[in-house]
Amino acid sequence: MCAANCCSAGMKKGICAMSVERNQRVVGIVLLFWLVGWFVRTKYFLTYLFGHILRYPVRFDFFPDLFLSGELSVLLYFLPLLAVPALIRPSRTSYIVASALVTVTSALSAWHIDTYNDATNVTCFWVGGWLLWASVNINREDETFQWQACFLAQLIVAMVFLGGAAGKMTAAYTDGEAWRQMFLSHERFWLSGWIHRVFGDSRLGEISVIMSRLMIGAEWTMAAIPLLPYRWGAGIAITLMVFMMPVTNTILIFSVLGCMIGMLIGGWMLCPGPRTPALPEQV
Amino acid sequence: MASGNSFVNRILHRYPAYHVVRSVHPRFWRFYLLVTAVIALCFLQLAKIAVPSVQLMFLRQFHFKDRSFVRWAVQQMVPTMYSFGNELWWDRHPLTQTSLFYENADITRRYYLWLNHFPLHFATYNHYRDLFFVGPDAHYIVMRSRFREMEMISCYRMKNVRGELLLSRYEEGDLCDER
Repeated sequence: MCAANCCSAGMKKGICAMSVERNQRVVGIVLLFWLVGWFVRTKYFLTYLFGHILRYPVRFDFFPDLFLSGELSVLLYFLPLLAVPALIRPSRTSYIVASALVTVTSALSAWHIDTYNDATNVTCFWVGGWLLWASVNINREDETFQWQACFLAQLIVAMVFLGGAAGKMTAAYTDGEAWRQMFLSHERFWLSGWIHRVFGDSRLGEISVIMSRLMIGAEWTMAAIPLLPYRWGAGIAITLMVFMMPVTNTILIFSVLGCMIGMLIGGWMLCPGPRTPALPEQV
Repeated sequence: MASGNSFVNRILHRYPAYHVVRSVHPRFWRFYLLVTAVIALCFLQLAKIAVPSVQLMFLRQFHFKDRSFVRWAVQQMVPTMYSFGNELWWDRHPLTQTSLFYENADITRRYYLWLNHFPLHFATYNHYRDLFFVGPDAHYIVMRSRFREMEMISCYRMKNVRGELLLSRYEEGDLCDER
């Protein structure tokens, strides 16, 4: 792979080694974000898996038997732990195996009756796809690799938020009703509790319209990041995602967003900045 | 003019897409495959806003009305978080069109809520599954998802059968959507 794409005869070995090291560092960081996001829900999942899934199984003939198995849910949740050794002994092979593992795990979880609903699986699947592609190409030295990695990261984040933004182009969200019912009708979240205390119940309608439209605007903004230079778009998207975490839910939503934040940071590290001297392109 | 061009060039050079387009090569086929899939899904998401058949496709996915599991599984990879207006009613008796939409009485016996996506996760992904195992009687769920001009209503029954919660569809007059 390297012979074809990077460390050619004309290139200094030192530069090549530095770039491969940088690529490995980037893949490692994105994988770390993926794993932290996946396991940030461990406390919740331990109760869910062992207190409910295994004790109260559900049968639904839409799903094949395999995806009704509670034991498989437990296995799938902990399976990505096998990707941890890749962080300790990084190499192209270990990263390919780890990336394939996390991608397949997210897909299987998205098809299982106990976990299909969790948006974590979908975002982790696509970031897993990015990781797998980057791991296969980890020894590439050419600047094109760096730009491709950035472009793919932009597109994946755009696709994810386009799904949310397009799905909210309906009266339930633009009029704020869905938002009011899900977030402001109770005081479970700190923000809804604060809004109830400060504004009282009479203004919940107006506040939910404003908040719902702000959220739709934020999602459209993130869906548009491929239209911006990489670092501008990534900076805006990371800021909005960090801001979304305490506003929409709890830190648990990091399981959905964390892998994408990691991928954008990875792209940031790879993106050749304006002052970076371009390395000779190896085609 | 030259400085204008160089300004445009400086801006263009900051766009990953610009560099990707300038360095097209067949050996990057894996990359192009991924990019094509992601861009196709972006267009599908946009089509959801205006095309009724695409809207129906996503509603069917949310309500498990796809004809095959494989098709549903492929669709699962399309991000749809917090989409559509999803409402759910839960009762110990079969819910009817009249009891849901034309009467306000008896509200205390009925449980009603809004959900972010895949409304049936009320039954399959929550910390209160044990509630559905109490007593021998069945539990009834009606869920309605609305998106622009499109609406889908589905009816589900849950029954504790030998320690397993059996989830199945039920028919209730003209309430439940057959699409």
